Order: sequence, then structure tokens, then C-alpha cells
Amino acid sequence: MALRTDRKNWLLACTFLLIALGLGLGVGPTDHPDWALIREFRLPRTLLALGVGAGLAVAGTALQALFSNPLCEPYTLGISSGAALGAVLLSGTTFALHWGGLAIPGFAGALGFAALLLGVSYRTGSRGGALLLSGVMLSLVGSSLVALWMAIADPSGVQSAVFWLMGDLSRARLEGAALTLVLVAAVGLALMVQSRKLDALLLGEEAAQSLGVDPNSLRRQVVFYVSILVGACVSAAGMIGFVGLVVPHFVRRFSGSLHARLIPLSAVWGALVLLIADVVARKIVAPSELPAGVVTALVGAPCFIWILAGRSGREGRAG
Amino acid sequence: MVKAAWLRAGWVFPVLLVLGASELGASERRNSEPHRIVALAPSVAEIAADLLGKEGLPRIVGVSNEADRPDVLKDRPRVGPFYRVNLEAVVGLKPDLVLATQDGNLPEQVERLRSVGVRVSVVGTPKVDSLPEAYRMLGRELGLEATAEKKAAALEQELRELRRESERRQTKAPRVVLQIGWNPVVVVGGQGFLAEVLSIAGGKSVFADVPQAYPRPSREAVLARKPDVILQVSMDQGRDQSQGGSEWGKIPTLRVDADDLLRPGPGLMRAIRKLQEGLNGFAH
Amino acid sequence: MSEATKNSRAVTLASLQDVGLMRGSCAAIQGVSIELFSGKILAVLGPNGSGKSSLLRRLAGLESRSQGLGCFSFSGEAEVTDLPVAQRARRVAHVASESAVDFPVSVLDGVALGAYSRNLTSQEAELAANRALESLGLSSLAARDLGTLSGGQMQAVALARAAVQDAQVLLLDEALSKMDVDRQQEVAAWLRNWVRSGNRSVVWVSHDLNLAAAHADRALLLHRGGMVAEGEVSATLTEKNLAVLYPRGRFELERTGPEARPQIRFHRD
Repeated sequence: MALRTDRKNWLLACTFLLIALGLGLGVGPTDHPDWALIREFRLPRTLLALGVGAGLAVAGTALQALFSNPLCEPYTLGISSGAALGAVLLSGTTFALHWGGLAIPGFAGALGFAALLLGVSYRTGSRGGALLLSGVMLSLVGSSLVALWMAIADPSGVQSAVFWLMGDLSRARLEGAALTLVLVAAVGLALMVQSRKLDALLLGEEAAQSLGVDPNSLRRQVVFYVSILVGACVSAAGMIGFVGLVVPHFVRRFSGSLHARLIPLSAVWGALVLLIADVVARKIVAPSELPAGVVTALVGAPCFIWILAGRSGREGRAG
Repeated sequence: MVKAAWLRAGWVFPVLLVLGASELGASERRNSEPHRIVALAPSVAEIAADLLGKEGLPRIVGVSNEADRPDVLKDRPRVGPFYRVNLEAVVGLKPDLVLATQDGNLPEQVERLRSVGVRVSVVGTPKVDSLPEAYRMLGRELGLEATAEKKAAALEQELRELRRESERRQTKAPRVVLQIGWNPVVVVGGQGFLAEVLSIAGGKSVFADVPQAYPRPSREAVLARKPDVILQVSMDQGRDQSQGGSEWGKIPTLRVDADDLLRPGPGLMRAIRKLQEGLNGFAH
Repeated sequence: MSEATKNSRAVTLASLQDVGLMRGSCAAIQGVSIELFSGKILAVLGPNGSGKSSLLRRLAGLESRSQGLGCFSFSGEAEVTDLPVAQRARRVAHVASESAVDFPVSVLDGVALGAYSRNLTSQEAELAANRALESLGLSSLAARDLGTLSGGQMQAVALARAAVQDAQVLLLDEALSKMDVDRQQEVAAWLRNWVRSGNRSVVWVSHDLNLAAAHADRALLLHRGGMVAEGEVSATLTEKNLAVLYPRGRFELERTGPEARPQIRFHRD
């Protein structure tokens, strides 16, 4: 029974993935692109969308389990903002937007903000709104510091930074995209190894502890992994929001919340959702382009409110 | 047989990769006399059009969204806004020369185009005097050195005349605010291209002491400096007309066409001359 | 049957020596020294604020080690709180009165999570979960989402999860409080059966004196963070002891059955 549902879920995900791949490689400003054009622009961009989408969805899934809160994701919690800040601050005064140079400082920034948030969650608890509000504030602080640093370091970099902060896949390079994919796959597997612990955490921290999970060590690991994911994704494509929120929420509806199933399915759906969002971003005001983050925010922010409203309603009825 | 086919197919992929890369780079070798030119900013599009003349215009095969002069360029394929062009659209036009500007286009995009083997010329016009130089440089790139030299010399001559005229009137120079933004108010300060344009046209900026190129003073600060006239560079025709000049009370305003003034191209001398004539009426 | 013969049959599973818990600089509970016997249910009774839940959390290792007093250990082992978390889960299981899950999890999956500390394959865990659900009469709920259950059903499911965890000591914090009255009797009977069928023990914090009196083997009475009495239910639940716990009332006890289990009626003065 479970197996048959699983097969159906995977079939569906793979079908959509193929369609998205076709769109990703087929849609662009040139009507009859030659292979060189596809190789140089569309392929890297498509691969990067897959990697970043999968990475953000997996990061969102892990954060939601970590904080037992379905509204958590790297963007709303400000971890993306931390990665952006780290990438910008530590990459030196020249705003060099190259993947390799930014990934490690991006990771450092994400780790810093995520650790800060973890500290906050010990005081405020993680299930309520306090954690999310702290995340929004962290996000604002991060973005403002990024803007400030841009203005100081290199005024001509501001324009570039604006797009980067809104989430932009157009500067994808083949090597960077491939590296992002590999990294996301590796961290995704590492998180899947922890899937039973993450499952236990769904029942709440104390229940998980009572079942034999050491929540503190698990949290440290998850924060570490999520920071790698977010650092890699943000340094490659800027701040893209809500993929990490909407995708796990949507996938849970048909796969359930057990992470051995949820993580890989979320990864696939995250990949294809961001790819489609980027195709829309490429096409909607062609030949100009929107940052992909604008598209995901337009769809994702209402979803956030919808989930939030549903939760508050339930809490209200229960109380 | 089947196996052999698979073997062949096995190396088709890497070969395609190599072929693809070399095809993009093909334009690099045809160095002189480019025939497929893409201009990534309106100013370079206008200079190139000016140099190419009517017969040469078909050589421009793509422009940024803003390029609208001369009229024929309006029909050319667009490659996105200058501040963030669509690189695939640019490369898809198979250009043998891409023209970019130092200040308008993103350096990283220029670099990216070069990395895929596209020949890119970057024109910098930090000063008004750089314009003739830009003509000469583009002339070399387009294989039109003689034309470019003639036009550059004419530009230099015109600049000299404009400067001489302004110096003659210097004692009576009006105190001016050159306004380029409305909400918030953005004016031209003591530095940069437009500050120089204003001084060549014989205006004395009341914000000349401000070290920024484009400061944002409050309305009160503008009035406190008691300008004789406020020059308004109209970016958006429709909106400006609805606002009218009464916003500055008794201080007279003068409308200046933005396209000519803000694009360091063939229209610049005309714009400066018009500005000079306009300011004449406000001389002390 | 005298108390001595009963105790001689019971095997000591774990012992509490002077156990307590600090809350800040005050002790929420202290000086509890008792033994937990195999196959016995120990009811922990007392008014609000007497330290029942604090004691339970101290035993479950949910409070930081530095706040804990005394020693709670299984025979021949170190303090339970000092054991590795995974090993501790084999010793004690804790069932809170309330649990909320913000994610869609089926009842079966939720119960199977109890097997975390046991080395079971996912099929074995599912089998154990199905068995636990069946024994509690919850099989019909197996496919339901945890979020759709009533409070009482949620408590029963939490018990099923604890049954799958199969720890030696089961710590229940008001774990039957939201069930219907008839359901409480059923589940309490299940609990008695469960505790006797293996080398297990239950510590059951309850507000319901009669439910505890009817199903527990022993009782621990707490008042203001201290121990008032501990022993066989029939010997511990006396008018005198209850008057210490609840001074603003009068109790009438009626003893019935071969075990002389008391039925308690409360009168307000």
C-alpha cells in the first residue's frame, strides 16, 4: 500500500521534473538556439535552478523539523540573509560574484545567523510566532547591512547586488551549478541518514528526547547541514524565498511527514518548482528578466499567510 | 554494428561541447569591419549609428530596451534593459561586436560576454571631453577611423566654442539648480558628468560645493540657496507636464530634454547649446 | 495477604534515593526515597503544586542534570540522567498529558516512532505499532492523521507509542485525564495487564484518586514538594493521609473487594 503510493508519488514528481527540464532548456529569448547557446546559458541556469531549488526545499524541511514549526525556512528565518551578509562581508571589498569565492563565507554567515536563532529558540520556544519574528528581524538586519556594505564598498556594485538580493539565477556558470548540485545531493543524503531522528523531533523536543534522540546534538548537526545548503544556494543564486516553505508543506500533504520519504521528494519538487519559477521569470517581461526570487515570493508569501492563518485558527479553536 | 553506433554516440557529446565553445568564439577572429553589432546602452547605439551613417545602420542588429534614436533602431531586436541585459539574447544575435558603456552596463555582464568569446568594446565617458575620444575609439572598432576623426574634431571644435562663449558671460552667469529627480528631489552636485555639462553651458550650480555627483537636498535646502533658475531634466514627459513648474514658487523653471542631456552621444552638443541659450535669458 | 509476602514476590527494578528537583533556588520536590517494583503500578497523588510533575520530569531526565537532586538508578547502574539518551530511552519512557503535532503524521507512523531506541527494521516497527494499537483497541484509527484526533484519542495513541518503546519504567503524567470515563477504565486495565506481562513498572501521576485507587498497586502521596506516605494502595490511601493532602475537605473511604481497595468520597466542609 505504502509502496504503491510511493511509486505513484515518484512517478508524478519525475514527470513534472521532465516537463520542467524541457521548459528550462527550451524557453529563452532566442527562438532557435544552437547547442553552444544552450550549453553556455540555459544548461547552467537550469542545473543551478535544480540545485538551488532542491537545496532550499531540503533546508526548509530540515528547519521545520528542527523547530517543530511548519513556517520555518531559510528565508523567513533570516538564514539566507545571514549567508548573503557573510558572502558580501567576507568576500572582501570587491563584490566578486563568483561561486567558489562566496560559498564559504556564505556558509559562515548562514551558520552564524542559524546559531543565533537556535539560541533565541531556547529562550522563546520554537513553536510560536516569536521565533519567526526574530527571524524576520534577523533578515532585515542582514539585508540592511548588505546594502550598507555595498554602498560603502563599491557604488557600482549596488545595482548588481539588488538583483542578487532578490534571487537571481541568470549568472549561473556550468561549474558552479554542477558543484551546487553535488553539494546539495551530498548534504541531502547526510540529512536522510538522520531522518528517523528528525521524525522523532516532529513530536516535539521532549517527546523526541524521551524516545532516545539527543535533541541538542541533532540540532547542532541540522544547523550545520542547513548552513552548508543555504551558504551554497545563496552564494550561487542570491536570496530566493519561500521555496523552502511551500514545497515541504505541499509534499507532506501526499507523502506524509516521515523524512526518509519527505526529504528526497521535497528535493525533487523544490528543484522543479524553482526551475518553473525561473522560466516564468525569464519569459514574463522578455527580453528583460525578473529575478526568480520575485516570482517565488509572489507565489510563496500568500502561501505563508495561508498556512499561518490555518495554524492560528487551529490554535484558537483548541484554546 | 549496434555497439559501434553506441561508441560513436559516446564521443559525440564531448565533441559537441568543444564545437559549441568554438562556435561562440568564432566572432573573435573576424576582428575588423564588424557587421553584426549589438549596443548595450542607448548612448553607444547613438554614437555607432552616427558613425555608421544611413547605409551602415543595418549593421546594428540589436539594442538595449531604451535605444530609440535614430528611429530605425526602434525596430531592432531588444536585449533587455542596459542595467541588466539578457546575455542569452545578446549572444543569440551572434554579434561580432558588442558595444557597452563603462557606467551603464554591469562589469560582470561584460566579463561574462567576453568569457564566452564575444568581442566587447567598453566606452567610458567620465567627462564631456571623453566624448570625442569615444568617437575615435568606436571608429577604430568599426573600421571607420576617417569618419570618426572628422566627427571627433568637429565635436572638439564645438566644445571649444561653447566654452569660449560661456567664459565670455561668466561674470553674469546665473545661479542654477539642475534637477534630475522629483520624488525625492535629486539635483546635480559638484562632481560628475552633468556638473561639467552645466558649467560648459555657463551655469553656476548652487550645489557646486557638494562633493557628491547627485545629492538629494530637501526642498527647503534648494530654496535656501536662492537659485536664479531651476533646470528640470524631464525623464518622463507625461508625468512632468502634470506637475508643472509652480512647485518651486517664484523661481522660474526651464525644461530640458533628458535624452539629449543624459546620453553622452551625438545629441549632447545640441543639448548643451540649447541649455546655454536658455540660460542666457537668466543672466545677471 | 500481608504486605511482607507481597513485597517478597516483587522484584526491585529501580530505586530513588533522596530524589528531588530544584527550580531556581527552591526545591520543587525533594527527599523522595522509594523503590520501583517490577510488575507494579505506582500512583503519584497530591494536590496541585505538590511536585508530582516535577518528580516525573526529574525521573524522565527532562530537566537539566544540575537541577536534579539525589539518585535515580536501575540496579547496578549509574544515575539514569547520566546515561546516554538512547540508553535512557530503554530504561524510562515518558508520556505527557498533552502532545501536539504540527505536521501530518498518520497514527500508525506516529506510534511506530516509539521504536526509535530499539534496533528494529521499519517493518518490525510497523508490526509492533499495529500490535500496540490493536491491544488498545485503536486499530481503526491507524490511518488517521494525528492532528484529527480528540484529546483522549491522542492520549491513547501516546500510550501505544510508549508500549512500542517498551522501556522498563513508564512515566505517565496525567496520561488518561482526557479520556471518557469508561475508556479510562479500559485503558487502566490495559495498563495493569501491560505492566504485569513483562519486567516493567509504571509511575502514574494522576488527579483522579478513585481511578488510581482502583488500578494502582502502590501509591506515593506528595504534599508541598515532600513525601507524605508511600506503600500499598490500601495502606496508604487513608482518611488521615488524605486530610494532609487536601486539608479543606473531609474524605469517606469505603473498602471493597478482596484487596480492600478504597473508594473515596469527598465532602466539602
